[in-house]
Amino acid sequence: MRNVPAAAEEHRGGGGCANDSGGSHPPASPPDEDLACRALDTPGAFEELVRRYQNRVYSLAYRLTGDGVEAYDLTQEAFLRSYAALKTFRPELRFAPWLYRIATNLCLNFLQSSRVRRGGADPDLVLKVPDRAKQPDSAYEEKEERLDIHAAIGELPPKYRAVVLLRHMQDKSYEEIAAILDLPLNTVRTHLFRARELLRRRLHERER
Amino acid sequence: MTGRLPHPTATTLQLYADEQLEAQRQRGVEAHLAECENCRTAAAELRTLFRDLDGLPELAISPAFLEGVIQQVAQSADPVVIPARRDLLLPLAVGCALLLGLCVLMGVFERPLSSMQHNLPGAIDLVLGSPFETAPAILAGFSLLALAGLALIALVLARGDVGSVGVAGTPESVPWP
Repeated sequence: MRNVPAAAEEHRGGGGCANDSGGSHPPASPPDEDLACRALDTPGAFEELVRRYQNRVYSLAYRLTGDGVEAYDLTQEAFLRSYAALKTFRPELRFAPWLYRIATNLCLNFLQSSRVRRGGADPDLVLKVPDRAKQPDSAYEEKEERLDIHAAIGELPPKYRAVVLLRHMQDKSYEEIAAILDLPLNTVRTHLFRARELLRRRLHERER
Repeated sequence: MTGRLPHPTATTLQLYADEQLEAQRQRGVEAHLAECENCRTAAAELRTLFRDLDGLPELAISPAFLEGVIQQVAQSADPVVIPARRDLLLPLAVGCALLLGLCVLMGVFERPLSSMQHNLPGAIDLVLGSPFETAPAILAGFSLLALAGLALIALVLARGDVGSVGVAGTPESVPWP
């Protein structure tokens, strides 16, 4: 799968909220779960979690909604809700899927409500991608490819969009995606398969 | 080669490209791809698609975002401090109840209560006619009511979930096992 810089990897802990007081080699950066356990009473702990995940959650929200302003608000909402729900956070579970679940559900709820507001005529938001015709034609092939894939993702139904983004952008396993979206594993496989098929076909059409 | 291997299904080919097949099946598909150009092309297409998807850049949110969230958390977290008020309310309720009990034991309310209960018109007459004389009885009655009310209010407030006031909850659609 994709190469993720080490610093951007999730900080995985062994679980449990017990204070680690006796280690002679204290970890340079505490695991997410430790920070989540201490976030309500330790200044800076929640800030560190936000710092670690803000770009990833924002990227997910942006690719899901296709709207930078909405993505910003939804990212903010996701962090505020996660903070409010920290009382119920169980350290034996991992923090990242928990946060992604909140963020993904907020985005899917937003997409659902925006569909309702618009009368349900168009089930999917189309990502706001700059017009290809206005782009320089040869020098930015890679950028154009990205725009193509970005636009193609935007044309997917939200439920397919979510699995593709979690798998490829967020590097989640099938099992993690199932937990985040609260779907059976086989449904995740099916959604992924259909999403990729749709993407492959749409990109083929664009190439023609 | 002993014979041509069957074409993998589209699902299998995707799982292969995503490295999700068991090792033995993965090797089986590889063996087929070595001899089937169509499937090899399809697998290459999938790999390209996956590479493009994996290569989508992570976006950087505005630097002001972090500060904004922390500020909002600080504001929304204020009510969490309210349990300190609960700590004050409980002793207050207990204190009121104790004082009330002490007053009852000492018979402070005995006279005003009995006079009001058995002879209310007379008590009103007494109040209207000679307020100076009955003032202690009236005061005692009011203090009885005030103490009881105070204890009740303190108890009700102390039992409330004050910590959750003003703090957003988890979205309803986000249950966590």
